[in-house]
Amino acid sequence: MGAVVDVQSVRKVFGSGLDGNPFTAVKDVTFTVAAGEVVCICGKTGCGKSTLVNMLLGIDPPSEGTIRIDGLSPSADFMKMRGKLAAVFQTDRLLPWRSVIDNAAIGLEVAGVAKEDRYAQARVWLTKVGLTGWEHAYPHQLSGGMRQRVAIARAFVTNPKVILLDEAFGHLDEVTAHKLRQDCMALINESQTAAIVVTHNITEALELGTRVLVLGKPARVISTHELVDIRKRPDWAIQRDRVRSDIFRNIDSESFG
Amino acid sequence: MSCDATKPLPAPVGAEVRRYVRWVGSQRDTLGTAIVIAAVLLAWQFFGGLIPKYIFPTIPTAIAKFQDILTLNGTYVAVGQTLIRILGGFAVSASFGILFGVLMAMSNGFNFIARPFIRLIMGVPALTWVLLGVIWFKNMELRVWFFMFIVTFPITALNTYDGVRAVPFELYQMTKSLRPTTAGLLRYLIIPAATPFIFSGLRLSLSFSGRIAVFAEAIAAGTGIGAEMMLTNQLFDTAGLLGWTLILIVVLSLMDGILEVIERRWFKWRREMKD
Repeated sequence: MGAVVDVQSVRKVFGSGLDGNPFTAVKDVTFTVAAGEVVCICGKTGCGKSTLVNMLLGIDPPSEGTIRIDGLSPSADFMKMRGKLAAVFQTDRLLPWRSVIDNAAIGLEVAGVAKEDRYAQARVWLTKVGLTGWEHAYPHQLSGGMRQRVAIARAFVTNPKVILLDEAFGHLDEVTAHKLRQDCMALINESQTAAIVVTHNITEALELGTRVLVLGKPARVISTHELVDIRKRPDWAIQRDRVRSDIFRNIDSESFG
Repeated sequence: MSCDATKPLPAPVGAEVRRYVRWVGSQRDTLGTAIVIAAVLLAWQFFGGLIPKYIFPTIPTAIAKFQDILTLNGTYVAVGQTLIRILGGFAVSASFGILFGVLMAMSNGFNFIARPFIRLIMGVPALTWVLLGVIWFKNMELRVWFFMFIVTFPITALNTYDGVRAVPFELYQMTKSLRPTTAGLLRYLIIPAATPFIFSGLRLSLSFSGRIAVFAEAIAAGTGIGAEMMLTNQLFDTAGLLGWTLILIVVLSLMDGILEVIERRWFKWRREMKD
C-alpha cells in the first residue's frame, strides 16, 4: 500500500535560539505512514516533537526536505489540504463559545458544508464517541475526558486521510486515558486512517503503534521498532518489555536533560 | 409508639431560609444600587439643610423641578437629540475602533503607524478637541460627533487590539489546522475570542460617549441635554441642573442596561467566577 504520509530528510532551523545563534530543532527526520498504519513518534520533552507537529500541520514550513500528505505539501498546498489532515492535541482546544455540536462540526463549517449536513455528520461522530445528548452543552459543562471526546469527533468528522494525535491523552487520568485510547484506536481502525501519534509515553506508544519511531535531540530518528509481527507472538508481553527497554535505553543515551 | 402515616412530612429545616438567602444573593446588584442611592439621598438631605437652597436644593425641591422638566415638551426633544447623537456617534466610533484594533493586531506594519497615532490622539486634551471641532466644523452635529469619535474610538481600538492579541495560541493552532481563509479565521476564532475585550471597550466607550456628547452639546451645540444643562447653569438653577443630570443618568443607565443584557445573552458560554 502506498504511503499517505511521506516525510523525507526534514530539517527545521530557527533564526536564533536562546544564545542568538541559529537553532536546529529538527535535524533529519524521514518516515512514511500508510493508510491504516499507526506510527508513534516517541521522544523526550524538548526534542523537537512540537516543531515536527507544526510542520506536519503546515503551520511551519520545513527549512529543508519535503513533507507530502496524500501527495500535497501541508505548507505550500495549505488550502488544498483542507479536510485531509486532522489533529487531536494534548488539551481539547474546544472553542468555549461554541456548543459541543458546533465544535464537532467546525471542520465541515470551514469547508463550507451546509448546516443540516454538517450537524448530521457531527451527530454521527458524537454518537460514536459516546456523547449523544450532549450536543447543545458548552465545553465548560463537560468533564476533561468528555471534552477530549468532542475533540476526537471534531478530528474525525471531515473523514481525514491522516490523523495526528499530539499527546492527545497526556493530560487525562490513567483510566480515562486508557478508555479513550481504546475508543480512538477503534475509530482509526474502522476508518482506515493513517495515524501519527506523538507521545513521550513509551507505554502508550507500545499500546497504540504498529511502528514506533524514537527521536533524539535535535529531532532525528535514532531507532525504529516494528510492532505488527511481534504483537501477534504469544510472548508479546515479554517482547513488549524488551522493546520498552530498548526505547528507554535509546532515549536515555541522548545527552540532554 | 404510634406513627401517623397520613401526616405530611415536615419541610426540611432551614430550606425556606436557604431559599431566601439564595434569592437575596441573586439580587446583590439591585441591593447594592439601592444602598448607594439611599446613602446619596441621606447625605443630600443632611447637607441640603446646611447649604443655601440656590446652591444645593433640598430633595423635595429637586423632585419638584424634575417633575416640571418631565412635563415640558422640549425635554423629550432634547433627550431625543442627545440620544441620537450618542447612539450615532457610538455606532461610528465602535465600528471604526473595532476595525482599527483588529488591523493593529493582525498587521505589524499597520500597528507601527497606528499605535503612535492613537497615543497622539489620547495625549491631546479633550478641551482642545472640542475647540478644534468648533473651528473645523460649521455643522453642530458634525462637531459633536467628531468630538465623541476622537475621544472614544481609541478606547474601542485598544480594547479590540488587546483582545485579538490575547487569543490563545493553542486555539489559533487548532483553528489554523482546519485551514480557514483569513476571513474564516476572523469569523471562527479571532472575533469571538476577542469579543469579551471588545464588549468591555464598548461599554466604557458608551459611557464616555454619553458624557462627552453632553459636554460637546454644552460647548459646541445649542440643543440637547447638554445645552439645557448649560442654560440652567447660566440661570443659577441648581435644581434644574440636578434634574437634567438625573435624566441623563436614567438615559445612560438604560443604555448600559441594554448592553449588559446583550452581553449576558452573548456570553452565556462563559463560566462566571463565583465567590
